[in-house]
Amino acid sequence: MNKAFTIALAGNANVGKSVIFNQLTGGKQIIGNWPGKTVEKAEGLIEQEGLKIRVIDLPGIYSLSTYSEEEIVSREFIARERPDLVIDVIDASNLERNLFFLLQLIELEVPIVVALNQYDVLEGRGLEIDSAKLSNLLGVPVLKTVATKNKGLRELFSLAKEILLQGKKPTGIVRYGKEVEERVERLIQEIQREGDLPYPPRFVALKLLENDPLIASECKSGALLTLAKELRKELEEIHGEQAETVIISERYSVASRIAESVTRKKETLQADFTDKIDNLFLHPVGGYFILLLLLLSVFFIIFKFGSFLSDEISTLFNPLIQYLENLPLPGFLSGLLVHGLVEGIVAGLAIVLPYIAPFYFLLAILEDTGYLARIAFLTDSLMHKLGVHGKAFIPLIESFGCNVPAILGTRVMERKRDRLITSVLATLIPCSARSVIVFGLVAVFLGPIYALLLYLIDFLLIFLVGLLLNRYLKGLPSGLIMEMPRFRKPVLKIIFRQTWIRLKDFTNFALPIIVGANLVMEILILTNSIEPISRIFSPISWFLGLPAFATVALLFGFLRKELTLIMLATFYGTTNFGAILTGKQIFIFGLVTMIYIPCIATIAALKREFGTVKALLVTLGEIVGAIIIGGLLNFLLRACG
Amino acid sequence: MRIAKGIEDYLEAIYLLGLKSSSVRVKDIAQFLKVKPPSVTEALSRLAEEGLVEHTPYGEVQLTVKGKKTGMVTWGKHQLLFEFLRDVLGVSEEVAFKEACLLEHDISDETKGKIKEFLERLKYTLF
Repeated sequence: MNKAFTIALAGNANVGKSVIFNQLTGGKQIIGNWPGKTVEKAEGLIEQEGLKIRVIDLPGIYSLSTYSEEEIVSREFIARERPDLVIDVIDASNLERNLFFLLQLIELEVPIVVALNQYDVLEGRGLEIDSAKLSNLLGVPVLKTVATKNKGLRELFSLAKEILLQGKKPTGIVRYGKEVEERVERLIQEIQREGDLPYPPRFVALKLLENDPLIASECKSGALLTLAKELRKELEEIHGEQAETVIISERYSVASRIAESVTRKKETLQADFTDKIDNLFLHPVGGYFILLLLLLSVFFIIFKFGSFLSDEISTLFNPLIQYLENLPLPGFLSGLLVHGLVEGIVAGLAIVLPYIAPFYFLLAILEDTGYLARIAFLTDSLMHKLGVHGKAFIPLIESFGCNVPAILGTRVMERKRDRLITSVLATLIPCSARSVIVFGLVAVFLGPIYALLLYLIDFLLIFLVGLLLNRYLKGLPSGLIMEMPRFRKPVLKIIFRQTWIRLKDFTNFALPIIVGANLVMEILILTNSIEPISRIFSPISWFLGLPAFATVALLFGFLRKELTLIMLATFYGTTNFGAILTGKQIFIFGLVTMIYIPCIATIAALKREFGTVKALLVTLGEIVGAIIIGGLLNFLLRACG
Repeated sequence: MRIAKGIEDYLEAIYLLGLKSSSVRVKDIAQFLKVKPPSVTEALSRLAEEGLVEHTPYGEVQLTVKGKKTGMVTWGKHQLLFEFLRDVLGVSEEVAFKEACLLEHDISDETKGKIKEFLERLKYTLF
């Protein structure tokens, strides 16, 4: 394989031909003149993998006619020297004019690769070219390149090599109007009789119709020239213009039709789609309706799926627990192992996981589709009434997962005032752990409507607290950071990854705490210390109308909120909470769990952000507030019977 | 469609003014942007043509969904750049604000994303 190949670089002036030439040849070039002409040519040599390739940089021209020396030189070179490949460098941002040249090049029937160069300029204007479609229409391979940034050149070169070795010619022919094509057809028949022309018959036919003097001088047969003259006259009669003009304008109209059909407004198309959907999703009335519907569906999906999963997982572990209980172990050890360790793990998996897994999954879907940002848009004015302003919404949404990152996330806001308000509100948002209580206890044993009611009460409380803080904390509220990402189809892989990352946090961090707390609880039970502890809290128990032990369970909530529920299960040895607590007690238990200071990690985050004093104030305020609200509800319900 | 500079400024202004009071008037916008009321009226008719604002019969201006989206995001970009200039680079508050106003229109989504990432990283690694 020692044959030397020739590649010619052709194209309009200023399209980046020389840059591509230099990249291909490594800048080693010989500048010479075309024999007998004053036109300069640059020539380089590539030797690679046994391949010798001569690269010729043709002068920048706009047509293959005879208007200039450069045009003639280029045409003659391609026609007579027959390069093994012509790389037509096209200015992507000026497609129509460049296609005009390419169409003629194709008519010369040489192997062509099109480099759609300066593609970045086109993209900068918000446009894009469907290169596959362009390649289809023209029957030549098309590659996008940005020569100045060395983008796409490697692909261009390897494609060029491939074609060199295969000698592929353009596959399609671009047709012009009927009147022209008919005459081209008749001329081609005559030309074939003539034979031995350096140019392909179709090219000659078109050039004869264009009245190209050089081509005409090549033709020896008088009959051909007479026919050409006749046909030109016919064309001139039909169109009322010179035949030359007719062909050129046909070519231009083909070029512009192709250019138009492959060029798209990149942003507009997508923006239109997103805008259309947004008109629906962000509608001043309909938008809220959709939001409500979506949130309700999210709620019910979590509830239905969660309770189903919860049952299934519990049943799965029952045989194991029974087996362990029947093992001949000393009572104390058996208690620790079965009730403390194993049931702790089961509780984590059967009570908590079934609810947070779908919760995180749905949250990831909302996030990935771009709807989360729409929620921010819809609630923007509401947020402003709370004095925290749209920017606060992101930490608040995060809060539904976990309060800790939400509080740390308030750092996006400039003013301490905003950060404090947002943080306080964030601690009141039911995080995933609290949602577990709401779903696993209230929704299961009282029904989903009561769970919704709890959320409603909580949101009302958040709103009131926000209004109060906004009024009494001095300072001006400040702005927001937000993006309106385009709507897109959720990518399952991303959603699963997001869900997994958040769930991993749960298994790595929360599960050990749950199991540890369960062990502590079991020890308290086995050493009979529950009684004295619960006696200390008896006034609160009385005030809330809860069994003494339920109040102790609330204490464990300081570690993690799910623990309140798990402790109940551990203490009573059952997850059938309906048998332990009355409906009223379940509701109050749920409400208090929701409001009182979330967990030790949240308090730590508050302390870190705002200092010990403020953290303690918020903690105490929320505990007292929760007890007061729970107590009031208790007396209210009692009064109502 | 690429929204020209002036348009984003107007949408941002109307969005911000709309947060403070329920009705935004030409006069408020003129004051806010420090331009003459006739220029505001002219700009508003252009915005209305593009479906970005609506006039109410009482001479109040209201953003459409599309307009509010642009106004909101522009203001968001402004805040992001403002923070970046002031808190990271240490540019004085006045200059940071003024230049955030200039930069907000031309910044690419890529750069915006990177600045956001940067600020977020900073905020989490401060302790």
